[in-house]
Amino acid sequence: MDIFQYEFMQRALAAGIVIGIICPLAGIFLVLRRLSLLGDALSHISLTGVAAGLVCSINATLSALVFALAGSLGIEYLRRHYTQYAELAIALAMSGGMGLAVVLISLGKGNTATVLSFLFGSIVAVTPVDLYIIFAVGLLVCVSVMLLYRPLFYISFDEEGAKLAGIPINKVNVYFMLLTAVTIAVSMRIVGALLVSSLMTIPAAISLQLANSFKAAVSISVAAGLISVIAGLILSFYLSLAPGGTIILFSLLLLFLTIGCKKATRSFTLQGPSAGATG
Amino acid sequence: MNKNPVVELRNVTFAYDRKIILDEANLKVYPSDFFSIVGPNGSGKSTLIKIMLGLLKPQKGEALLFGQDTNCFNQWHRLGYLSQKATAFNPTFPGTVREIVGIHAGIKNGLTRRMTGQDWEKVDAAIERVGLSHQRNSLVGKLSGGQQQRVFLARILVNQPEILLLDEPLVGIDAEAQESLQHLLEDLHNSQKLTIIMVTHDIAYASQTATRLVCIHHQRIFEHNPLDYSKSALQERGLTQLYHFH
Ligand SMILES: Nc1ncnc2c1ncn2[C@@H]1O[C@H](COP(=O)(O)OP(=O)(O)OP(=O)(O)O)[C@@H](O)[C@H]1O
Ligand SMILES: [Mg+2]
Repeated sequence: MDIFQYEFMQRALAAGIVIGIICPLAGIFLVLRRLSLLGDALSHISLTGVAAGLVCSINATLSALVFALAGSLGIEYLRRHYTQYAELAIALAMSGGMGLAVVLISLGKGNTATVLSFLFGSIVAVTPVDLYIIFAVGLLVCVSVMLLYRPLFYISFDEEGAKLAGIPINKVNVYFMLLTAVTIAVSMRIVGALLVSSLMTIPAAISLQLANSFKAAVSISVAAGLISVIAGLILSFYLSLAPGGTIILFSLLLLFLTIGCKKATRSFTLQGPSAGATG
Repeated sequence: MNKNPVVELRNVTFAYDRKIILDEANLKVYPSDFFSIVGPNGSGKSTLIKIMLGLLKPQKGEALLFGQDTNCFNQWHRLGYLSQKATAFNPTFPGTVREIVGIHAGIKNGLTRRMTGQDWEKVDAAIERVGLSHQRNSLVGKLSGGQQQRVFLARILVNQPEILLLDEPLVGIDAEAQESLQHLLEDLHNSQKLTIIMVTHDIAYASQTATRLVCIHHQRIFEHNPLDYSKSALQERGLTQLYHFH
């Protein structure tokens, strides 16, 4: 296929595969702990990082990483010290991040096209340096989730029980926040700040429809993420669409198909084949 | 009895914000006690258990487990705790009975360790003990409340703990399963010498099986002789003395 002739497209697909794996991998745990909003907050903070990087002319992915890490620690601090206002901490980070990003962008000499590419995602923008960073983060996230599978599983099911199982839940929580932050910071490059958290939550939603075990839920969400990213990138290449939007729309399509199929099979089994055919 | 207590509270005062639950309370639970805690709703039974476990920190006094302050205690595999709210988890959580019991197996051997075949054997044995074998691959969110309660019981039994702390373990469980679980608890207590600490509203059962019986009243812990509260004795005197409604 001629799509692979272009080096930028090879890089975009390579980066996309990594992102398609790590976003749902972190996302499933966020969704199960009802922390999906955290993804939005961290992506807004990452956008501030991008804007700061553009103003100071350093690699924007790198500065997004630094901001996301600092932001996640800030949120975790607020959450722990104002436990009743945990939701508020996330909302504060979200609006603060966005506000700061907008101010920095309006300040900066950085051209609008670059900013837009971080907002909506881009397939031409992945530089070789970005690719290295994405690979490094991808490796880190995959290995961490594999090693911390049991603590993460335990905490998302029953935090109190996890504590009594001797799991250092505060440490695991902070580490997981940091993983989420770096995942979001690097995924923004392709999916865009506005949509990156959807790539964490929609595959998880698909997997919750289908999974008959926790293992299956993790595998299904990764599969759904990968399929959406690859299909979205290819479609956006041929139809010249923004990749972030295409990826998310494709994943939504998968979600609706899943729900539809599930409904259909349920009424099929409830009413029997003949009734299903007439109704 | 010159054994050392396995659970001990020393002059514990605990309050939620301004509401005092325990005031200078003392308590010692010894190995192989069947220790039951009774009291009216809201008297602080669940709170007491959480203080024993170090989940809640007393404002004054100390809570000790195996002689160690709960703040530095780290042998959690020796304890099994069944929360009163165990079944209040996210019902869409995609975990099977085996997986949920499995996450607790072998916790003392490191958190990043993979499950071995031996671990899975223990998991299946624990599930068998609570009578859920035929449902071991079902999603826990899809089980009934009583079945879920049994999953949590299996989870704490999987590591063969020395102390069970059970907060109303038999609530919502059908009569047949209740009987078999009561037998299970008595067996664990009698033949394996487990220490059992149990919150219950079933005073007749407590008086039959428990070796010790306490009641929380007016921020204090009162100990009674379980035999005074057998069915016949209760019929005569009612609950007044036990609950201190003089
Ligand atoms: N997190 C909390 N914050 C503030 N007050 C609380 C909290 N948890 C419990 N309480 C209060 O403390 C008191 C004791 O609660 P606890 O749950 O220990 O009672 P209990 O004896 O277990 O009751 P039940 O028989 O209903 O289970 C109650 O009056 C309750 O209102
Ligand atoms: Mg209670």
